[in-house]
Amino acid sequence: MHPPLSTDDDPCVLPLPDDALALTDQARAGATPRALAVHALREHMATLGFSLPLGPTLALEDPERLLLLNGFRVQLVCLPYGADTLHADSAPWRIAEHAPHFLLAAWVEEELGVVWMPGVLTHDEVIAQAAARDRAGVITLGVERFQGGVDRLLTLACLLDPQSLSPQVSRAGAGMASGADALPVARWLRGWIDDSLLALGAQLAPLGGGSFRSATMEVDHSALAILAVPLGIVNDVLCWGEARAGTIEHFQLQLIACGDSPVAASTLRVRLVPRLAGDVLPDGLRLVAGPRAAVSAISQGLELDVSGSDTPIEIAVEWGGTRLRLPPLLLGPCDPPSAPFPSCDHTPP
Amino acid sequence: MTPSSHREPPSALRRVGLISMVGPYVTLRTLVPAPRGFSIGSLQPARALDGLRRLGLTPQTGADAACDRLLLRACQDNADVEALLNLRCRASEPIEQQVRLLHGRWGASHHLDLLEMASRVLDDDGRPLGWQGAVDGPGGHEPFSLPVLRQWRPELASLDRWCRVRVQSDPHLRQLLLHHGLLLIGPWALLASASRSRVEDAWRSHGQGPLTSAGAVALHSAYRELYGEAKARHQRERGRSRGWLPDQAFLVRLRPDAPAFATLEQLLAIAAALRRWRLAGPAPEDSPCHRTIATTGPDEAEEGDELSELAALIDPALRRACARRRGALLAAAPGDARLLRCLWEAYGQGLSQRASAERCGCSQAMVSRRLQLRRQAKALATTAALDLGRHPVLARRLTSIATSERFVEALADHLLAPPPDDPRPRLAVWLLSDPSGDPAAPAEA
Repeated sequence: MHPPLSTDDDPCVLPLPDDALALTDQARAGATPRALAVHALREHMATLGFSLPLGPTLALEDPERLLLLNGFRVQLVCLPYGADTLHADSAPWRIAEHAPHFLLAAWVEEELGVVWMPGVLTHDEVIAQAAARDRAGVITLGVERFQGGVDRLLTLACLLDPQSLSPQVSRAGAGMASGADALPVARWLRGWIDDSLLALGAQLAPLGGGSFRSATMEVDHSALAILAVPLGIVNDVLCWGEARAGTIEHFQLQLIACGDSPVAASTLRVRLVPRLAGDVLPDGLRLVAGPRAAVSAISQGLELDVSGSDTPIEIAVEWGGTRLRLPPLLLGPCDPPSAPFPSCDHTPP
Repeated sequence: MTPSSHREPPSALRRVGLISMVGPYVTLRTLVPAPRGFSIGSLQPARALDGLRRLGLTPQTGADAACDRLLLRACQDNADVEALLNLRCRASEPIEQQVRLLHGRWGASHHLDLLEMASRVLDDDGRPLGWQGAVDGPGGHEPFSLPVLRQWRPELASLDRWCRVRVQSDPHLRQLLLHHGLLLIGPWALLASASRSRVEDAWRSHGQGPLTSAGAVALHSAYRELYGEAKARHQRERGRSRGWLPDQAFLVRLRPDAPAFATLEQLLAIAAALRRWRLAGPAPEDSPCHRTIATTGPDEAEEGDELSELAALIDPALRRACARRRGALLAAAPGDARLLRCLWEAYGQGLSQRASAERCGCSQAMVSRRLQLRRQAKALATTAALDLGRHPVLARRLTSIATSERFVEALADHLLAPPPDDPRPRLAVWLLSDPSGDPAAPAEA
């Protein structure tokens, strides 16, 4: 016999917060939770009169990518509506200087297209609260720790300078990174650029140098993919990414994946060249790489090759007292296994 | 069919009065015409009586699980139209109860209309219908209870429970509640969204039933493991994610050594514990993060002093922000632009929420949901803070997260408070009726 009907059958009804959004049928047709959350984020910006750039334009709905909101890296994690625990991929947090500035939680009810963002944690808040909670590459946090709703994100993204929230470059581990931290060069062959490289302003260039000046992009017939990072110098400081806007000296760090196999690069050719034909690199600019890589001067810049190594490749560009250090890169065909979250070093070296 | 329309009797009268002389298998609870519109009332379809007699039952037969199953078999095996009518009558009672329960709990606070809610699920007019759909051909109206009965598996749940669970999952009712600012979460989604630790806490403090805390956690873990896969399969097969319900195969896979209905009951018991936990859970203000953020800012007294010293800069900045925002704010949300404009104008005139609701023809709750004054004030404060941040005196305030947040909060408070010479909040004055806020006008010193 079934148990009698009781008041335990009360339905679970949650009053929606004022900043919860019920998206239109059109917006939610076939949309993933991430797409619904991104749509909601745009609607919030429109409702509150914030016109902040939101990217990456072509990969907004890719759940593995960080959002770029007004220059801030934002890890968006979508949860079922009412969920009490958030599980975030810790991979983006492994390299301190490329870690997200914010972790944004979004409750998404797919059937009705309801999205509510309980709040946001800043980089430091995540590190403080998640360090002991990482398991197998996942950061686990109680949703009640997220406060301020989407408004907190928009306020901070509008008011603050990304640099003021960025984990300092000096915080990055001084030692050689482990293979688990390294970014596979093979991803570029599939058109994928990791967010930490995107944040530096990196972009894939056409093979053969189509859109680049011929003087600075020597055609390399073994090239499988070319990643270019625009750099500049302003006030004696090396700049990249968004900070590069307004610089006078322009040059490029080119990372050229070379090899015979179309799916795996065996050599990484690194070039530092001026942006325009006829220019020369500023005196004192240095290209540093490891392991086992010797820099040679080429006609208009600097070049080095790293081949066949299964050790992560560390590349840095130095100018005066400033240094751009790329995330470690790895040659070979496949992604490395994931590493535990606290592998990024947050203590000063 | 003899429609007996009347005003809805109080529940006590229903039990002891005329209607109680016939049982739930011949009484259809539904919307019926009333002197002024409709009300929830009863119909007694004539063929329902025929059906019961044919099965050797009397009209007074009370709700009984064996009788429910007998009627269901008659529907499944013989497409018995009368037996289906008996079941439709029988199902209408728990459906009504669930709607009344929802309305009783949330109706007053969220301005829910009982009849509007009932119209979504108490929509059976008592016409004879076939098991697979309307007798009068495709396209005929199929009442809410018909697919509910078709999908009912007595080995999994009683008819009462099944009907109540299905009311909670009804997309039309959920949409209606959503319009009133309420999200109805069914037990399956509630279970899927809860973490292991939440289930442990909820069951320890609110669990009712034979399960131990460890047993509840184990069953819930198994559920979550299979839920994603089952939901994905449902989406592949149906092309939509809504409407998933655990079937016998799912429940048996979940706990091969237990009867499916027992597993289902236990899952629903865990969901009930989660719901009670949510109702009694700690307020978000108690969370450690909130305390961290709230206590990292500068001293309030110091901030208050500084704000008053900087008033000469702050008010013009806020006015400029209001003026820049005015046009977009009134043009927002094209679907209800007229309502929004009416609400803002009422706010600008200093009307209370109740008076604004009356003037604009909406509920009081809608006033707050549409205007979102605190959010708008914070957004304007952010714009003003960006402006003020260029001033050397203030630039240093906006260099950390804590000070930036507190500064914006203070500006928003200032915006929502009335100036000394006007009873209306500054936001109302500057956003809607202050000509000096014109962006074209020169900024004040």
